[in-house]
Amino acid sequence: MIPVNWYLTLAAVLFCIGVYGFLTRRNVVIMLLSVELMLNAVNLNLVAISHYMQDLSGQILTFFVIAVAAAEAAIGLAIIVTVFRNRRTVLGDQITELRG
Amino acid sequence: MITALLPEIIIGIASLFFFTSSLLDLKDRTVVNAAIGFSGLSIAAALISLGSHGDFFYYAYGVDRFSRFFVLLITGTFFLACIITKGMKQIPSEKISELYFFISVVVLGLIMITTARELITLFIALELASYPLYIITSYRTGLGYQFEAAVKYMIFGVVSTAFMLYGISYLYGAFGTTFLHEIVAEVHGHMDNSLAIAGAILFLVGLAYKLALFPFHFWAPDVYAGAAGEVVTFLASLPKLGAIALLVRTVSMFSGMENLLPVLAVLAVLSMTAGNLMALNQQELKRLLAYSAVSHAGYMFLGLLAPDQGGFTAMLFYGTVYAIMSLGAFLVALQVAGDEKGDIPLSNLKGLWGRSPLMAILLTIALASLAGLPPTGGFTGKLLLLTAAWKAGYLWAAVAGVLNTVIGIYVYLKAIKISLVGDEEDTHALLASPTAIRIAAAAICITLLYLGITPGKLISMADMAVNALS
Repeated sequence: MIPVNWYLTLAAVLFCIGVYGFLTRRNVVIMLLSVELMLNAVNLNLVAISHYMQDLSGQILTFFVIAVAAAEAAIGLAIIVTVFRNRRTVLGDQITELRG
Repeated sequence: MITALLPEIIIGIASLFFFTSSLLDLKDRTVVNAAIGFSGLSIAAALISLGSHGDFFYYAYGVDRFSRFFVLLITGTFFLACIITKGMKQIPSEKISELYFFISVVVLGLIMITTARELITLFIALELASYPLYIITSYRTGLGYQFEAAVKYMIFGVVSTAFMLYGISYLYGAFGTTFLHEIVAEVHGHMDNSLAIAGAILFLVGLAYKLALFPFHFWAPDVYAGAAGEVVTFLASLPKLGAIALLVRTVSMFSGMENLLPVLAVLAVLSMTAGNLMALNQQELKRLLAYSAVSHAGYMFLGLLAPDQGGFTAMLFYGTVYAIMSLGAFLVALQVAGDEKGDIPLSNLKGLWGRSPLMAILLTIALASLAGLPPTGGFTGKLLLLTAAWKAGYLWAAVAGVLNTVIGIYVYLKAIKISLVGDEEDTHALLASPTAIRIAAAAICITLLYLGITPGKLISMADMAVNALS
């Protein structure tokens, strides 16, 4: 059997790739994709831990995460589409009328 | 049994009502009055359920004094914000029902946040309170950069959610359970468990985002400036209360983790300093209030440092006062916004004393309270927070807080000066506010002064709420 630490490491690597992609990409759609990657790292964590501890609540949380990620993608893409209609671009560094 | 959940039921009905009304062709006035009615009803429900107890859904949802204190606070803020935003000048007419639908869902989510006792429930409640806010940020007539604000808010919001979930997965791994009371029972055996500490820190990062704490604040000024004034009024007051409730609940859980508190102290001091410094040069009222929110998030974090010295009570008190004073500031901002669809530059405040003395008085009291000047509620709140931090041994943090108050006074007095000393030639037409707005303005003034002079009643209420935690 594969030890649980391997899964946790894989999830951590996946999460870091997500964070890296989020920080370096300019396209807002790709940034959203990177967030999905981070959420899937969470899912992997939860399922691995849940299996390791023989406890089901982690897997239930995974279902909720999947559902919430779908809702998030729907809202996110809707907002991005409205931005594109207004601005004709989805590149993060061109949507800069407001400066922190 | 049912009375304990009365506020949730009322708000749930309200959200269904506004969902239906968004499909019908109702008059704007009818919808706005319905919102005020529902929020008023929810206050009554919150008062009825104030003392009730009960565990629901296998201990996942626990009604206690702490949660009902926050429910009263949230519904009260909801009601006041509904009255203040009655004009709906910057919202397209066909979106008003939808706006109220989403706000009702947010309120429901916030109530669930304060009551949830289990990580999955907590997560669902948090998302319920966040996603509608991303959508309503984009509701604004004209302009075109509200969508940019919405993108920024949404994209950073979902990242903070991802961090928080990652934290939750580690907490679940460390403790083997998602129930908070089981985590609390085991937390002392896990002081050096790196999985638990990493989980707690990642969880707090997500919360810091919701509260707009310093390194996670960058969305706040853009969202405040980009979204419609009415939306910002809700957005600036309601989610903060949920975040405070959740912070107090989770930090009281992890307060045994000695290494965590110095990190929180550094974050608090950084946040109040950065917020105040960046507020110095702001020329737009909503943006100024955004940076003021950043610095106030820092002040509120000070309360977390002193769990045993009354820090939580101080935090609850300050959260209440903050909601009221920011609503007061936004009331004035919405009144001076005028009919132009742009921003609200500080120069709009010129000659406010001549245009509407009541608004000038309210602005003065609200900003003085934000600055922390006596005899307002803001002064009492800051005093409580700083003494709590000092008693807990964080002398340097308390000193930094006092120094920041001085910078804050400069920021807010500048705005007050513009409103009181403006040239008479600049005086636009007189501000004729509706009666309901004027009553709300007077009520906010009186409440802020009342909480400054006799804070005892609210402190004892907050005390009872905090005692229900342990």
